[in-house]
Amino acid sequence: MKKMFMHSPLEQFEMKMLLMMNDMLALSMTNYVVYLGMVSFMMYNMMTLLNKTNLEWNRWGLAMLAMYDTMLNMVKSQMGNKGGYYFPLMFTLFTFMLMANLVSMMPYSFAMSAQLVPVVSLSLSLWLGVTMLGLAKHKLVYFSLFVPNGTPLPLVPVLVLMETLSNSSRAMSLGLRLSANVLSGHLLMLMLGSLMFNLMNSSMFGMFFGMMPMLGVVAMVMLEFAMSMMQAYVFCMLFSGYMKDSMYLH
Amino acid sequence: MQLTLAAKYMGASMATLGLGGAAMGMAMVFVALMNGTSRNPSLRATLFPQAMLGFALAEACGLFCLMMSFLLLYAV
Amino acid sequence: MINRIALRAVAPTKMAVRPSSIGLRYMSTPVEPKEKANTIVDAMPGNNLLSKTGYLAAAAAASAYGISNGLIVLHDETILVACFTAFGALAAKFGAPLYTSWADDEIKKVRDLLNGSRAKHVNAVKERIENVNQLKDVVETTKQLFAVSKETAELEAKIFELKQQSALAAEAKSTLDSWVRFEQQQRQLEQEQLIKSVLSKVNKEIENPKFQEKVLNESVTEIEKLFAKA
Repeated sequence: MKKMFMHSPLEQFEMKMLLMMNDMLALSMTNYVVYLGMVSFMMYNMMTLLNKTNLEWNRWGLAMLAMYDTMLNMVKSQMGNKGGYYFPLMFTLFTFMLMANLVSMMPYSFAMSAQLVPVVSLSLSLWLGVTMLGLAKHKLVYFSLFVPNGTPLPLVPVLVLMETLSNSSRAMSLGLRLSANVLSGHLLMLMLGSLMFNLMNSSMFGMFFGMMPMLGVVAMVMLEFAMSMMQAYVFCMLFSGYMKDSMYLH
Repeated sequence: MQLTLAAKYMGASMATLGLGGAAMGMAMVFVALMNGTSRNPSLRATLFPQAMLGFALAEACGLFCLMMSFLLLYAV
Repeated sequence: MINRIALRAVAPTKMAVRPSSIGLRYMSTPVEPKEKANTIVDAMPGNNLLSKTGYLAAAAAASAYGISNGLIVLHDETILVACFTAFGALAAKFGAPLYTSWADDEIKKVRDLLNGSRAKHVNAVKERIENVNQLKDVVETTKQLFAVSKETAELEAKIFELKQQSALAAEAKSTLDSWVRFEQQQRQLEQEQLIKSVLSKVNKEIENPKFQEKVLNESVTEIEKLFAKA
């Protein structure tokens, strides 16, 4: 019997070339691009459906409206009424990440958000945009963000250093949080899967009693579903918090 | 070769130690939620999403450790 | 292999030994085995028993062929497929009814709210129409009110006029009264002066000796006359 072995659980995150343009990965079709296209298509369809919804449409429409409402509440509670300008960005980010995470939860699919480079570059560019927003809005006063209110004078240089460090590390940590979560969740699931497979493949006894730990794996899958939704929410929440910082300075 | 392999596994296992901190963090989040809820049960609706947020953040920090150990195991 | 043989050897005795009254499902309502089997058979696709067995056999053959030719690969992800299916089944069994009831409640709430506000609006419009209906003879009422107010104004003007007249009359009367009083005083003064002058003249006459003698003579003559008579 022919068997396909996975050499390492990290193999599921490999980018595979589907349609080559040149020798490098640039401009060529990889499975990442395919999933990006799928998610964009789903987002487009969701937008057309969302434009059609009214308050008493049907149950699916209600779910979309609940998502919309949650995000709107979050943005308004973080940034006040002025934050409504940035709500479309926030809702698009949330929908994109939610769909990417949920699509990657399907077996045999490719985890888009586990790719560290695209997600971290996304968060880096978002952070850069937020910084530019703050600079454009407050000019040089923006740098007062690095000095917390009521600091004694001798502590100011140290605190400025620390605040600068923490503010610039947001660029990395925002994307890394999402990416590491999805990455380790998928790795964990796959490793548990291979463990279960080996157990069930070993003997009839293992096949029979492997059913019980399966419940644990199902619980893990549930947790991963919850985490994939929560991480999208947390990303948007933290990002709107950062945006509030540069809009209002403290 | 065997020595580097052993060092890799040891590094991976040491990287998972940080998960203890994440576990304590999560426990503290829920302890705080229970405290708050038992002091003022009417605040449950506002406290619960924040507790969930705290849980997610703490778990994310723990997962950094897990990711490090996975990376050490499979990617190094 | 040893395990399998051991399991096979153990299995029948295990089945036999299991006590009937305190098993895992002794609390559940007993189902007739025949019915249970029938439900399982009914759940399969196909119309009669033959096609059902055919489907089953075909599925088994297809999976066996797929596995043996490497079309279906059983590996780690297979477990995840099973878990995903279990999760989907759990969500459909426990999550979906909760969501359905919540969504129905929500939709019903919104619908009730909209219908309620529509009914309220209709009522408000009806009330407004009734209110306006009550005011339909407002022109005549206004005309009457205008006439009344005109009359009132005229009467007020008349009252003012009369008041002015009476005020004038009162003033004239008071002037005349003062005049009368003044004349009375004047007359009194004149009389007093007359009396005074008369008195002074009389007194002067009396002081005159000629007059005194004359009066005395007169009175003596008179008395003599009286005595003479007597």
